Amino acid sequence: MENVWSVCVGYKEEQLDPVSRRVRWEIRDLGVKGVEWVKTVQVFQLKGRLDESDIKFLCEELLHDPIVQEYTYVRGEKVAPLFEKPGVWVVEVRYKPGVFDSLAGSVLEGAKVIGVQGLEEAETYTIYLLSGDLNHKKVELICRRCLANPIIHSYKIYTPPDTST
Amino acid sequence: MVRVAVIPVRYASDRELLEISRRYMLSLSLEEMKAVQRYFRKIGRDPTDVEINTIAQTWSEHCYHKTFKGIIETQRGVVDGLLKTYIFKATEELNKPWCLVVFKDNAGIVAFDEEWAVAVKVETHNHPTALDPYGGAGTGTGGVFRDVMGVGAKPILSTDVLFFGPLDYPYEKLPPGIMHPRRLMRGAVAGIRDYGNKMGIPTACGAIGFDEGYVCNPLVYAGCVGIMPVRKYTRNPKPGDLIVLAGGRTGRDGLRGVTFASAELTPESEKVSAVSVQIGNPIEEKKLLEAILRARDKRDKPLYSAITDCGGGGLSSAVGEMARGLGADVELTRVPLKYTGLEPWEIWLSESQERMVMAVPKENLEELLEIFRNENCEATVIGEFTSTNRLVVRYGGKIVCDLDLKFLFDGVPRVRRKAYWTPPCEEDPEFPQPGDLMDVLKRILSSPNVASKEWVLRQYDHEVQARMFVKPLVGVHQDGPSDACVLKPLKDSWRGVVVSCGVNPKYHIHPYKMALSAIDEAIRNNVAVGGRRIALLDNFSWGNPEREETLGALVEAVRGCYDGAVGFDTPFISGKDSLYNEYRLPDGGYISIPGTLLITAVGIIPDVRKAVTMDFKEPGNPVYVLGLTRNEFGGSHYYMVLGLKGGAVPGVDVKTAKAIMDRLVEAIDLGYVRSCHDCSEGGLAVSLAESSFAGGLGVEVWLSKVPVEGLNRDDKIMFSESNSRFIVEVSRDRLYEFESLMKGLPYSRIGVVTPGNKLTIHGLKDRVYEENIWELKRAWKSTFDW
Repeated sequence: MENVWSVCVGYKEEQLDPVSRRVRWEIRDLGVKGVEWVKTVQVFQLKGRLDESDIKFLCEELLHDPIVQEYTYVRGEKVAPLFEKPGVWVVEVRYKPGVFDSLAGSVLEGAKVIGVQGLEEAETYTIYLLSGDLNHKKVELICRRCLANPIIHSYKIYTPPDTST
Repeated sequence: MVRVAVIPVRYASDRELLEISRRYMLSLSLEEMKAVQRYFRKIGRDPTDVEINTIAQTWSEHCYHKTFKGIIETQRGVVDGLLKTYIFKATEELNKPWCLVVFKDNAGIVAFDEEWAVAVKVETHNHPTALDPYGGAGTGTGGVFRDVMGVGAKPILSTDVLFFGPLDYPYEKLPPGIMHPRRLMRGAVAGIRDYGNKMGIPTACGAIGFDEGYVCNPLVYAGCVGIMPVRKYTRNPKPGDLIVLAGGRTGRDGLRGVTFASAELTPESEKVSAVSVQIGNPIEEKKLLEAILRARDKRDKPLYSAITDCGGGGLSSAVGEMARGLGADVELTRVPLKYTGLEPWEIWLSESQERMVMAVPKENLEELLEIFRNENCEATVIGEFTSTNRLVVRYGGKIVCDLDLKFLFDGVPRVRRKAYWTPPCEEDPEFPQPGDLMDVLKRILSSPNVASKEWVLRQYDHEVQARMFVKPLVGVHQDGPSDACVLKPLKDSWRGVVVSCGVNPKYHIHPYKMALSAIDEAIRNNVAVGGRRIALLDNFSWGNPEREETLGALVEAVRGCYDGAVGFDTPFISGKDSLYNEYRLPDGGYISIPGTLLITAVGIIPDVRKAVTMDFKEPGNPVYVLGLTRNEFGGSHYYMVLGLKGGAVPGVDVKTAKAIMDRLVEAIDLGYVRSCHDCSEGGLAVSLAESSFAGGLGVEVWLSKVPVEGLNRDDKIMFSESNSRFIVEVSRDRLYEFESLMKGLPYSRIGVVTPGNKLTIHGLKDRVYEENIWELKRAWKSTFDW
């Protein structure tokens, strides 16, 4: 059975999240004010002959660090709706086609090592959750200045559900 | 379906030839296109896209160094090749038996001891970093590691020198498509960090500088030092040897990176250059390294007869270079691909990272492939070396490239360029001495070029491999700026390698003196910890050499390199240039980098336990300054913080400088020296402050004791950037021995290390300048307290 799963890995609420902290600092350092809270989520999009137990096994053994991180997974490619909340901007940053995704390469290799043979393709990307005094123009600026490099990345901004346009 | 285009050049007009060069992004000039046309007219057919791209790559500035090999008309007469006339000539004249391989292979190789050799290479990776700082700087580092692996050495040190625009550069002023210097710097540092740390190669020894000229064109110099047994060096491919491609798979990444490197950046670069960006994978390279070392050491002789890095120009350059004097026959369908759909020329030219090419005698093949299989690293036979002197490339059996190697390597028309240089005005501005010199000192200490780079250094793992003896940060709190790093490469020997660098683009207004200063600084830093028998590497990053004054400045700098190398008795063993570091504005104007010359010095210390660090060690010890302090403020930090221009760029009295350094090394060997620090940016005051707070001790000095030439002001003695000077702390009980050793040289005892925490400087006329060393340290650390 060929199907697609998306695994999202982030730091646990109570844990120090150095990655998100750095991103928040960098946004401020690059001259965009108003961001109060940032969270980063690493997404692994996995394709192949995989059932739920395979995905669970991959999450437990390969994709997350059980001490500081937690994971969730969904069937399919769409994960942004998982994070939609009033006041939270969701930004998806992916490599453009043709740019080599070395993390995905490691996932493929790691899966083979731990015995998950069904994994055929992997793609990784990052989701940033931002909140604060923000609007579309500002988030766009944050993407261009900080989160995405237009030469190798494409990005997509999801406006919070309660924002009037 | 094989897609090979034939490009009609034989009957093309001049205009059409240039159009072809532009359309296929060949970066070839009309004269070069005409040489291509002549060749294909002679053989009676038109070139394929594989052929014309191969020629363009081989003849690119990046691979062939057209400018450095060209004929240049200067005011002083015609220079028949900058490399031949100056750089190689210095090495030839010095003719050192310990220079084992110079300017011939991927890296320069010098003897370490009887059995072992040290391989060194420094590369630039400027253009890719401008587009993607993380990937660009990372692959620059990965590429230079492969250069060292490409002579069969194991990398033991990664070095990096970076230049960016000012960190407070306003966003509004950034030209379109250009990233902010802060982002570039963070991305580049992260890229270098991740590549070195993940491969388990310590990163240390470097510099970071800032100047408005680098806003559009940041510079990344990545260097690597490796160690290898002398007898394991081989570069002797034979007809019949198989061509083995090992490492990562081939994709579209990095296509035409070389021709791209030889072109200026424009606002369009962001759009068209996407494929020129290479993405690194250090884990892949680590596997490759392990496999190569095992193939090297499996038997008495390496299993390969030659090995090279697959870098700029991809297979076309790696196979082409190795086939020189032989011939090669390659089948492209055998190349393992990341994904399908690549056209033959794309496979042949791809600059996908983490690949190396080996020539393997047939009888060794199975053994070699077995090693690579065990390391989980792909290795594939893609062809064979021949004796036809032709480069034949096939795709599914069909010939897609058949070029005469002689034409490919010798057919490039030599460029002829004009150079012109006007000496700058070196007159000093008139200004009164500022009231609070300690405030000026703090401003210099916190200026980005001088300030502590601990934020960067702490991200790099310099402890991995456990070879680092003198680390980049030294002193009681392990945060003082070390002049050089000392490695102990072998388990059973105390002998060490000393690596340092010298660079100061603020002196670019006088390129000849800048070159001498960079050499002096690199050697000075090396000597300050106890290095000797020094070899140099030169790395030029310059603007567009087709402009007379830009080339004129380059010629002056190269001339300085020759005089410095010969004067200091330090041969060049390797080098690289990166030209066209310019940004073309939509209105036709341009922004060029200041001509920047990095000199890397690699020395030897017979016993690493005798190495000296820069932090003051013990109260009561006398403090000396070696070398003359002159009125030299051109490009100085003192003038910079005061907002002044003018002044003479520091020169070098090579003969005296060499005598001072030789004698200093002797003093270090004899154990007289407790600490030693070189004087560079910010002069005497900065060096004294750094040695003080690194050692956690005070110091009291008298400016009236400093040996000067034509100086009579406190501020000028404190902040002059004259070259060839050292601050030396000598053991109290070795004072007389030290002084008698230094006899006849410009030196003086200027003060004493004190137990307190005060930097005290007595001026010429009873004025006393005093500051708490922890205050000075705070200023020094505040800039990058990120």
